[in-house]
Amino acid sequence: MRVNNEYDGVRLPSETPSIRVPEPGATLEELMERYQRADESAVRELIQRVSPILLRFFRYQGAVRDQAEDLVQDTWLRIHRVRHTYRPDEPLLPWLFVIARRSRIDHFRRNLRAIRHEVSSSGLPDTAAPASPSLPSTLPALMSALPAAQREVVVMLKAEDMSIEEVARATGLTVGAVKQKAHRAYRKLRELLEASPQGPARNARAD
Amino acid sequence: MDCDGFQKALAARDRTTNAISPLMREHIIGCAACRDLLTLLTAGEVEFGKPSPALIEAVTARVLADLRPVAPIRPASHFAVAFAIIFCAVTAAGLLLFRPLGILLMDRWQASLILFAIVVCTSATIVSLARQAVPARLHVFAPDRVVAAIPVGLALLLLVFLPVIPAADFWKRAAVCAGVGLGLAMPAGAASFAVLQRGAVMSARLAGCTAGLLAGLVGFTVLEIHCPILEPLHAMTSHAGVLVVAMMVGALATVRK
Repeated sequence: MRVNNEYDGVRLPSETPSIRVPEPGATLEELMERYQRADESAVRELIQRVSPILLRFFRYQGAVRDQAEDLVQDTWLRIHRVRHTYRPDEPLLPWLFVIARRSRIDHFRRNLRAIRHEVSSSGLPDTAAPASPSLPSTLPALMSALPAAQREVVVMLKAEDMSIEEVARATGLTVGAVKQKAHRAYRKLRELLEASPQGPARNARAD
Repeated sequence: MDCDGFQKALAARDRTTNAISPLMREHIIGCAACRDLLTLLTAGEVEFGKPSPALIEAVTARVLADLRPVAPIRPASHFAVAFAIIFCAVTAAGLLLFRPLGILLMDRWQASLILFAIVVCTSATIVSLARQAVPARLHVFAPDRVVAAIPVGLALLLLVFLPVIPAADFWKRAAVCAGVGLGLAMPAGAASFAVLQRGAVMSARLAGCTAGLLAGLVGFTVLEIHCPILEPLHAMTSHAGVLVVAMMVGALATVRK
């Protein structure tokens, strides 16, 4: 439960630590172990519970709905192929995101090759779209301005509520490198918030 | 606490720690920008909708069509032991073939330092490679830094701690040593790759490069212990050169997946 605090007339955001609310029934890790033993009911439940997580990850990375669904499907095919590489008693989310990241990187490289081929065929210059002059101040919108590596770290830490160690496992970085990327991302987000016309708590003063 | 300090402190926190400390709280009372940042990050889940039923059905059908039990991959420690055995076995075979002449010509400090450096570098390489073989392992050292730092570090060690004595037939002797080193690196590399095939590397080129480094360390170790030419340019070119060539071969060997 989140509680808003006030101090000296200024409403402060929540201080309570984020708590993952456990879903009823088996944990994702238990379902994955049963999946490795070819339990059909575990497969069905795991796909139902994990697919929204994967979709959210890809949407945060900037994929539109159709692309994100394609990536979810591709990721599941990879998960199925390498399901033996999950170690029981280890957290599942880092392992899932290792595969999801691989899926996204390979998809990006394929698209880049296709775009380069199109550009070289058409003779058009390869220019990036201009940045929007005024960004809305929501997390997904602001995160589009971050480099992909920083965006991934922030998504896993804040949207997926993973620990720093879990993020390090998922990204192949060290714990120190995760903190460094998070720090740079927060600095950039703060600059973007300052530049945006209205921050989320700019006028949050109690009367 | 300034804004940079606040952002650093925030970056060090996750779901296992409290969101803000008293110092951070004090800062955001006076800083609207940092307060906005914290509000943004703790604002709660953004709803992107659920995957379509058609997607769920398609994925479920594909997975169930090919569902059979699988045995989980071995832990990273088993891979580490396998790589250590490969290193020790091929190095021992090399030292049986080529007598330890060089190490006997070094003074105690040179010998201790070089052997210590070899042990440290080999251990770091084995741990890095074993963790790359199993997905979602925690890396203590970034794997790309391991493959960059070890050859450079060993080359600098040789430059600093061996006396510069110009020798005749520089390139001829360097070629002989490189040939010996690479000849030993090849079986070690092949064995390491065979072990890696039982794992599941996510970055094939980096894992190949690291396996090449381990193979190169076999050659480097035998050369350092055997070679009586205690001259830094010779050692950097041929002994440390074996590391670089082995890493390149390892990286290229994985391009064809």
